[in-house]
Amino acid sequence: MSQSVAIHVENISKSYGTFRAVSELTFKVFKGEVFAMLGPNGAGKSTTIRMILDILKPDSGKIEVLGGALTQATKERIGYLPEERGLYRGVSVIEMMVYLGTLKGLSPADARRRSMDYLTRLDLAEYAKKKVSELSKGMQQKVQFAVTVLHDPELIIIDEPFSGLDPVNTLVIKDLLLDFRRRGGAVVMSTHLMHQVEEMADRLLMISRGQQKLYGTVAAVRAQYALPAVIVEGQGEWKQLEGVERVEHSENGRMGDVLFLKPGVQPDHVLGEIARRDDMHIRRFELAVPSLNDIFIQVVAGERYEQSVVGR
Amino acid sequence: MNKAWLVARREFLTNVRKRSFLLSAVGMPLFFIALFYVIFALTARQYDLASLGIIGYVDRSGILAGQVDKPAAFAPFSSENEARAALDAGEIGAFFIVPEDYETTGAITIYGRTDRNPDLEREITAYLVVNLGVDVDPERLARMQKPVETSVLFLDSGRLLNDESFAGLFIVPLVFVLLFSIGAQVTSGYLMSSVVEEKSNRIMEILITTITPFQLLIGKIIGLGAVGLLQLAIWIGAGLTVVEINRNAPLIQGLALPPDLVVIALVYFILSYFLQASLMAGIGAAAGGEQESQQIAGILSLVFLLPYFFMISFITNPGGFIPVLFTFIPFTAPVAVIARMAFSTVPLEQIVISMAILFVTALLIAWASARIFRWSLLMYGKRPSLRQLIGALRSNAMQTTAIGEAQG
Repeated sequence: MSQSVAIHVENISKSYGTFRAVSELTFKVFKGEVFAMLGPNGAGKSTTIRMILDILKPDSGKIEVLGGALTQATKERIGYLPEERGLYRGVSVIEMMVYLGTLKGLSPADARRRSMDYLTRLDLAEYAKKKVSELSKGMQQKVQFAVTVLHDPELIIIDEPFSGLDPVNTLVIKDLLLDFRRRGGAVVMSTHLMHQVEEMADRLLMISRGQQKLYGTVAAVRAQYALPAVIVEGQGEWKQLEGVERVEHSENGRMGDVLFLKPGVQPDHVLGEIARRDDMHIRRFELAVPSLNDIFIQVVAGERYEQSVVGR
Repeated sequence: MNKAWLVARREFLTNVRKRSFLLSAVGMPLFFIALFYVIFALTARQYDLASLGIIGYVDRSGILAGQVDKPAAFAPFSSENEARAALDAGEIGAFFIVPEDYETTGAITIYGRTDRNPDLEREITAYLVVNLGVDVDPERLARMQKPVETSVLFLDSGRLLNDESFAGLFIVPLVFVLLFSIGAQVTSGYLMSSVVEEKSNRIMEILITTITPFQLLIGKIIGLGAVGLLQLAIWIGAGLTVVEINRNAPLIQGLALPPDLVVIALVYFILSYFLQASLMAGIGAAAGGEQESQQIAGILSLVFLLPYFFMISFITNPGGFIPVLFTFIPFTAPVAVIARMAFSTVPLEQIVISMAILFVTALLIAWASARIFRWSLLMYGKRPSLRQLIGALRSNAMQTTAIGEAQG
């Protein structure tokens, strides 16, 4: 990967009293990618984001954002949408957007033009003069998103980008995020929605209890958790295959059968074997790669298990 | 600093358009003007001598026999019963009796239907003095009627206190200082609710990743300070208009604002506002919510108004211990100095020292507030303990969210 680095976090730790919120975390976020931060509640995601944004200072370690330590000038190149969302309620949508845009360094005219562009794109143009408090929750979410990207930042950090959005609006925001990535921006999103990560994210970092659990491209992480098994759909007595140790049939047969391989046996080998036999036919053959959701649960559950064992 | 200006601009524009601003900027003067007219009307009617009609008198001492300079409204009666009957019949409004031994005792009795009437008493006194002094040279008599015309010249300020400027010197500064303290308090109240709003609707996290807490705080203080000045200008403008319209009314005659007082009051207003605003911002940041911060602010405002409770010491002894003490306490200095200036003079060095103390205190509080601000920004819904607040002032780590999250 030869992309330029948007965020470089090196060995940061943060404790609150005796509670270790983040422990020796290291990762990079590149420009032109969607980077997902995963982890159970209280894993240290928000703390990490706040340290990146210089709201909190790490106890140790180093953070570089857009090529250096975070300065006021760098802040103008970042868009941040915190988990707890808020807007000024008593003012008009356009007025609030222009204010927040100018704070990010836009000229008032520029801020107004861009705000109208986004509102049009988000189907909210007619609400520009309405008070924020008159908007529905979904509309407010979209306005908040528009505020986050209004100043055309190079990096956006979003906590739970899709919480509270209906499927249609989720799609709208997703398109905007992917569009942002296409133009070379870096997106850091923290989320619980694993299928969104699978669909959108290029790389991910999973943390639990402040420690890195998984880190890398989504494909690599899934491969790392791949079982020594393949999923096969078709006809045949799979047990007769040389390299197969045991077979698990899925309940309704629709999902195919899971073939667990003997140690050292490669999936390719099994596929070749099937192909050579006349009494077996396959419609589908794939590696038994767990979904991110399964991996998430496995990682977190494993940890809870460890915790309870240690606790005893 | 450009961004602080943006914050200031927004705070000014949004607050000036708020209904609460209109209410206090326009509603307050209207209320006070109405109150003024009501009091004026009531007091004016009470002392209306003409409404009494004819005043009867029974002279048993013979001193009024000459009827020198008898006011037209005065009518002699031969006996108390006769006068009483006339009073009961409504022919006269009141009567008084001058007893035989008047010349030795000076006692007279007034019979009336309602309250005391100071104007009537003055009128009777004047009539008696003239009749007692029939043999006296008229010019001396005038002096006997009013032996002293007081004027006091304050050498330090060059201000002259006489009967005409009495109201101006006493009432105007007090009203002035009251306006200023209300103005500073109302405005810093706006500041507090603006902080509480941004904190409770979470916009703070966005702001804080855009501008520094100090820029935010300074921007708010400047913007809302401008709101406060505008409000004061409206109040004072309304007051001056009323005074101008009623130039000839007795209460208002001689009403004037000494320019040195205005300048010093303005400086104190700005310094005191800076102090209060920083304080309120800190409270807004530290308190749990709108209601709690209002309560704390309410108690604190009493401290600022403390000199009013001791106003009697300011009148009787403006240079005494309590007034001088209050001059050097930053919270009470503005009211104390203006009140002292109204009743006497304040040595220049005291004003300078008092302003310096106020300024330094305001700076310290602004600094502390900015730290608490920064520190407690993210502790939504949680009130930091006193220990945590002190910790925030000391530590460099700024581990705000930290404690909040760990506990939650």
